[in-house]
Amino acid sequence: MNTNTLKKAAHILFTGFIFITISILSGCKSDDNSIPPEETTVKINHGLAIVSGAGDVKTTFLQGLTDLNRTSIDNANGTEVGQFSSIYSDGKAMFTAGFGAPATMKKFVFDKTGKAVLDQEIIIPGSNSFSSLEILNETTGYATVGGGISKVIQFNPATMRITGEINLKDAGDGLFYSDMIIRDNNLFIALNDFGGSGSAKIAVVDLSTNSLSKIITDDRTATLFNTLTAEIMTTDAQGNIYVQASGLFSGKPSGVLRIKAGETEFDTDYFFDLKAATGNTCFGLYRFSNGMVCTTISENDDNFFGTDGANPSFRYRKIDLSKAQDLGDLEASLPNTFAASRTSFMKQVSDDEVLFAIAGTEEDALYSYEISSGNVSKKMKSTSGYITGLITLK
Amino acid sequence: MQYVLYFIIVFLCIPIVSIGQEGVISGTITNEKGTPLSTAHIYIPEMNKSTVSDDSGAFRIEHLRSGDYQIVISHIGYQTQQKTITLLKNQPKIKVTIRLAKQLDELGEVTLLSTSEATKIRNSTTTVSVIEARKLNNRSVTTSDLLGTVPGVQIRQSGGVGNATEVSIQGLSGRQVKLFVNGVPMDFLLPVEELGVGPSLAMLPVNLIKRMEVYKGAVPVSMGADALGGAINIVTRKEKYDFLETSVAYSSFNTWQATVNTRKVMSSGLTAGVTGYYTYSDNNYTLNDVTLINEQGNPESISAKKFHDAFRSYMIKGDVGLIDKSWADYVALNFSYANLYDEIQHNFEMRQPYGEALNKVSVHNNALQYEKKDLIKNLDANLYIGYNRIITNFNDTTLNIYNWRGEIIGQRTSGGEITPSQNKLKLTGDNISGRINLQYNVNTTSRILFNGVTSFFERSGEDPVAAAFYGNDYYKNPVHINKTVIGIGLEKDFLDKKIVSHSAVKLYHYAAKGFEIENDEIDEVEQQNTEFGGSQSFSWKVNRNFLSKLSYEYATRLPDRIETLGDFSIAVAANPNLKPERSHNINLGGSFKKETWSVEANGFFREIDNIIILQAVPPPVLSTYQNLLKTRIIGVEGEISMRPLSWLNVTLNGTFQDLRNRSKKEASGVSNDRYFGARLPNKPYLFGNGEIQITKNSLMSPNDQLQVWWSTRYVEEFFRYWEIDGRKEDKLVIPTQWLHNIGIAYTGKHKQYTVTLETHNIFDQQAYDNFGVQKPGRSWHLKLKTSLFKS
Repeated sequence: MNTNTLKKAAHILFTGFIFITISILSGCKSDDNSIPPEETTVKINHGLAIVSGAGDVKTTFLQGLTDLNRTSIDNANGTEVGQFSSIYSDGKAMFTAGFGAPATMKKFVFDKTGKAVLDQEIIIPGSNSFSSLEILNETTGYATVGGGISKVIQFNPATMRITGEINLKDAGDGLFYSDMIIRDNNLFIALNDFGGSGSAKIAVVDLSTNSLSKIITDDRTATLFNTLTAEIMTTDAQGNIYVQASGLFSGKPSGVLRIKAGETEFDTDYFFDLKAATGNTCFGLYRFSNGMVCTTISENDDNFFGTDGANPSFRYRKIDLSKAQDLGDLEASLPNTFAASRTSFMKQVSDDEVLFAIAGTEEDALYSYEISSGNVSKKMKSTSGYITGLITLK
Repeated sequence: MQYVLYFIIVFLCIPIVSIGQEGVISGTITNEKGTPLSTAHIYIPEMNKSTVSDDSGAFRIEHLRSGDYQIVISHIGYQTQQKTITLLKNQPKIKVTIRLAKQLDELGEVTLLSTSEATKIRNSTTTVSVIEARKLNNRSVTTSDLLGTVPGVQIRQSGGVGNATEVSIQGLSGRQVKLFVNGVPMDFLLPVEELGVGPSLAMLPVNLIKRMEVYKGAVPVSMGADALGGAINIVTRKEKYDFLETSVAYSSFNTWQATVNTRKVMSSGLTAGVTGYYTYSDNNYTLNDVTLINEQGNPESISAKKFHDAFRSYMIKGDVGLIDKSWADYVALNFSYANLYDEIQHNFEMRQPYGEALNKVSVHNNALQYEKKDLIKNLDANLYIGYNRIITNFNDTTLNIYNWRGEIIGQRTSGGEITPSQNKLKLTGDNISGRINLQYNVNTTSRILFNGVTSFFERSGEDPVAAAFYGNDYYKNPVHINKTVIGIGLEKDFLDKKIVSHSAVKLYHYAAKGFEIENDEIDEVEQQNTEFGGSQSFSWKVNRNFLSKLSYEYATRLPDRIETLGDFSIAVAANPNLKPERSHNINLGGSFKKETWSVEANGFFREIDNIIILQAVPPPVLSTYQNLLKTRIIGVEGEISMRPLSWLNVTLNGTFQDLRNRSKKEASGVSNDRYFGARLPNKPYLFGNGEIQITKNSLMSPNDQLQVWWSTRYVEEFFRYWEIDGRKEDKLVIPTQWLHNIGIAYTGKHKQYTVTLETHNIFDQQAYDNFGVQKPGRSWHLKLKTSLFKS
């Protein structure tokens, strides 16, 4: 046996010794009966969507929050969705309607740490996106499918299974579906033809038969467009439905139409000409429990969509629907907000507080409007992008 | 029109000017067996004139007075020879045949480049890589594959043969990188603008290419386009001897590739050639983890073969011309027709399968080319004038909805698979382009270079299907674009050619006229712009082994037609206020070469401003291009080549590039500076290639050859979205990829035939370049190449 062979043998013995030692120590570890620390459980009461990114690479991040009492928010704990997404809720989970084919609705639940975790998806092959969701109760929801397929799907939010569908082909081809509202067993669906018909159109669906009852039209305004803002339809305490139309691409003014309680036709006696009242194009309609209503007003119709570096062009505006009056800015000192998808939303979080989003040149933030006093204050700023949705969990 | 007249006049005058020059030494360089030797260096010391023999071994030196000349003929691997030739007044033209004897210590192919055209380019002041396709045309590789092996170059593909491809050079990509064919911008010749780079590169098979020059950083004056930080020039084969060569390859996924290339050269100098290729692939490789949707709308993961991704392309090209005339080294008329059929399988993130949408293209090219060295004393000229017609058809007319198994599962109520209107779009683009490239040798140490490229493009179309949807056939409105790029350079040698300086200025002019649609109204839009750029580069030959280079370029890329005028067919609105993209490019590097090994390293710096980005919004609202983001790129690339044994070649290269956002919030479309300094998303930052090749000669019969190789490519994982956003562990990533290929090729004696067997992605790994879009798994390739005769 020469020196090299001896060296090799010593090397093998040494390696074997180390291996056995590590194995024994590992084995000892497995016999350790110490209890691992419990995972911290947090109660999630809110869900938030932030669009983050710069240039042409942007996407939505979702996160759960225990409360809204904070001065700033970021996306460090956000779940990357990989799509621009609008968010909705049934009070238990967060639902996203993403932009981009095929139409995909995702249900996210929050785990013990508050992380948004994908639970299930509903996908409609051949269509571009889900346009809007309306969740009636724990087991019934409706979603419009945009781009090529003219239908509403009925689904079970708990199980995320399609339970039925409503054919909207008779409403016409090439339509985009905007906001929805349910009243008196009827589903009212705002139809957007980008001004092509020069009129405002709503599909009325009978939910008892899941069939299209009729299309109602009104040519005093046109283009029911809710991409920029979260809502363009609302119901007042009396059951009247108000519908906001932008008038885009039609030569018609922005305005608000009404469908009176118990009826399924536009009220020919009512029209709120927003263009005449405010002087500009308006988008969105938000109504709160005290009857106060807001819209947003465009200050630069040449750049109503997109991110013009120096000119955020939308302002929140108070209006009186019953008197058809413009009540001026929500707060004169508020910064303007940009208008990309869902950069404008307003969410009532308590009897006396409405939160709304500002996507600005200097700061993205969630602001608070105190209903009783009319005071506006900054609730929290977002350091990671603009906030596009807020839901409240029960 | 004045530009066209200018080109025609210059074209007609140049040959006339050149007639009457006298004193020519020409001939052929061969080895001891009489086989022509290309790339031999022929040098007349007293005149400081030199040239390099072409593929047929031919050379020609002109403008010599009567007298005695000593010529020195050298070639790596052969003994240098000197010969004295006398030119008489009554016999001013001498033709000689010179046979070179082999050196005892024979060197192989890798080092045979020292005086070749490729080596001249490599030794120029700019940072450049040269791929000699001739050495790789035994293999079943595509032009894109070859480009991907160059350090600093990243090729990202969305699928198989002919699919979408993005070329990146040292971090710059897309429209910032320009491609050329023989110095003519590729978008004049192939449907680059209509279908992108991928299908266009697929229309240039490796077997028809001589070499590819990849310019990184300062783009030479001879490349007449507004490249921001890199250019690729594909030089096609142009032999000057009789030959007939064919190749046919069959690969997995029913992929066929065939080429034929032949040429006849008459003693009168008349030459004619025919080139053709055919490529077909079903591209029906298996996709993993695609979703099938059940009746409840929930996805189930399956594996399925692609069913609608066939690609077919063919081309026939002919030329007739004259070579080695006193008034022209080469003058030829070229005619070609190419056809392409490309099925579209899915959307860009591979989430939605398509079953019927497709593109069809036909391309007609007619060109006149003229080359002459010493056109008048010390002036070399290269001219091109061409007329091209590119007809593209985009069909998207079905209401059918397909699943990933290729089954029809329903019907849309409106719209096509891709567009909301449905399309049966035919676009016809006519292009007249001209290029003048001149080099004037002021004296033995100074050269002035001039390059002018101008083009006139008009495109209009028709789409009866979309017209029915929109109520108007918007595509009938014509679009005109005139582009002119003029570059002037001065190249000067110092210290006995040890240091070479190259200074250049470029002028870009762009005038476009198109239309935009607003509220169903068609408005004419015009845009024109004139910009300047400049560069300064140096090379320093420190000693016979070590060459270093330094270059700076202030580069400009003008907004192109779609960016500035918009394009209704892809829902992009006009933005006439776009500013040009600008970049400061600095490259510093060096190469050290010994007989059996070489090493090269380059550092690069880019500072790019006003980057033009599409700000996409949901259709039918039109998106616009905007100037957003400023980016800094710092990187290093290196390559080591070794030939430790006469039969063994090893090559290893790697690139690290750090792309960081340098925009303040105003130019980023955000409200704070959190992205300042952040690494750009969706961009590979670490990648490399390796190859080991074994070559054995005279294995079974004299002069035969067996080659065995293993090649690999590595790309480090990178984030799809900005890395500073969101919870790290859940972020979408394009995973690390390390793919391996092996191959074996046997070449029979006298190189009359080669049989090649290759397998790509031997471990059948999941490969991606773009998020969600899967590339083929393991594939097999069998190729037969024959040289039926060669004079």
